[in-house]
Amino acid sequence: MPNLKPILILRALTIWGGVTALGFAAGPVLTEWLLPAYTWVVDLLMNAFAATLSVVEPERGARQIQLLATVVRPLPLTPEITVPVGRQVPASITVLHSMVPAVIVLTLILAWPSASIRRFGIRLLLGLVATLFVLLLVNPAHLVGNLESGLQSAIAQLGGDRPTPLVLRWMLLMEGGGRWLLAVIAAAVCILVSEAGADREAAKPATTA
Amino acid sequence: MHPDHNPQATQAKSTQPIGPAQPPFRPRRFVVLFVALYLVFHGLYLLVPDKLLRETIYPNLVGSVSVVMINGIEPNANARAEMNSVKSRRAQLDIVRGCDGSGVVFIVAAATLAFATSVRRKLIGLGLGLVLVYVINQIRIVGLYFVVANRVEWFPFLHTYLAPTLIIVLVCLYFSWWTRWAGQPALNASAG
Repeated sequence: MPNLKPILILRALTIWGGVTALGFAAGPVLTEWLLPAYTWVVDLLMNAFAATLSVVEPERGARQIQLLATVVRPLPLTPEITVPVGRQVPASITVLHSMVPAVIVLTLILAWPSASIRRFGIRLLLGLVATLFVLLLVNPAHLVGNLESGLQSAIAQLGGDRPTPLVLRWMLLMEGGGRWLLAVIAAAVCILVSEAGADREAAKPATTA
Repeated sequence: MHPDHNPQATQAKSTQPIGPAQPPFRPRRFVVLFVALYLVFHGLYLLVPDKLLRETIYPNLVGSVSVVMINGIEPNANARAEMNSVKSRRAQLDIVRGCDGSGVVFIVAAATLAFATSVRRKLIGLGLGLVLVYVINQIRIVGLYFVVANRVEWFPFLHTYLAPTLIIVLVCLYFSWWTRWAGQPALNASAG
């Protein structure tokens, strides 16, 4: 079997270290910027609630993205019990956990060798867009999934039953490793698109004199 | 998909290819198969009862090996595996669905099976990949045990942020290494 160039391994691990440190330091600020977009997606995912999102720092533990969902139409849990309008239900995820897909996408696209600086620039731009896309696919659903999971438990405790909501299934898929898969796919697509035709370009003789 | 891999260049360097060329790498086919296989594995995993994981698979496959490693590193730890937990006087670590390394296993398995190469090379890649993920996951679990025992405040950072990203980068490097070999045509005895 061939050896993978040690320089590539070293480069990947160094970049991973840098991106991880960046995510740790800049994660809360980046998350604050993303809150309007997260709120928009959360509102799309919830029918009976209006969402308010914020980044909070608890006395103990890591910084969190907190979803405060206000019931805007009566929410029946069982035929007898309904959550009234105005009731607020919280759900949260940690900021660091929400940054995991971003760290993976950025590490992979930065670590992968490129045929030229121009192609690398294109890849970086694509990677930033892809990162945003992946974060929007994962984190709002994680918040809503946590909320729905709480509702499922409450309904079960009250002796009721309801089918598992799609967003909860999506959250379980993402939390089981789907978020890593999405990040790897996003990075691979960015690399493939940015490097498409690089072999032909390299093999083509110079046409200008 | 791997850096520096150019099947034509590889073939040009070799003077004695004795086997058939590997099928060409088709990115779209790879991505679709990769995702589809991952979803199949995830779906099958959801069918495994929690009880079977908690009472049979985790204690035997993960817990007992972790305990041997922990007691080897710290003989006074007296760690033991109980159901899905690794316990000692100083710490308790619960292994639960989703934190058992299954997601990484599915990624490696799906990527390996989706890559266009011979069945033999896929099986070798799959075997090596699964061993690698198992070893990495055991190191992760033992490491997390010692973090819980000594610096519990570091646990969320390591468990939810550092370890997953590092493991994915490591398996991507492994996959890249494997595809350099698996994407080559079958050569004479000096290769493969």
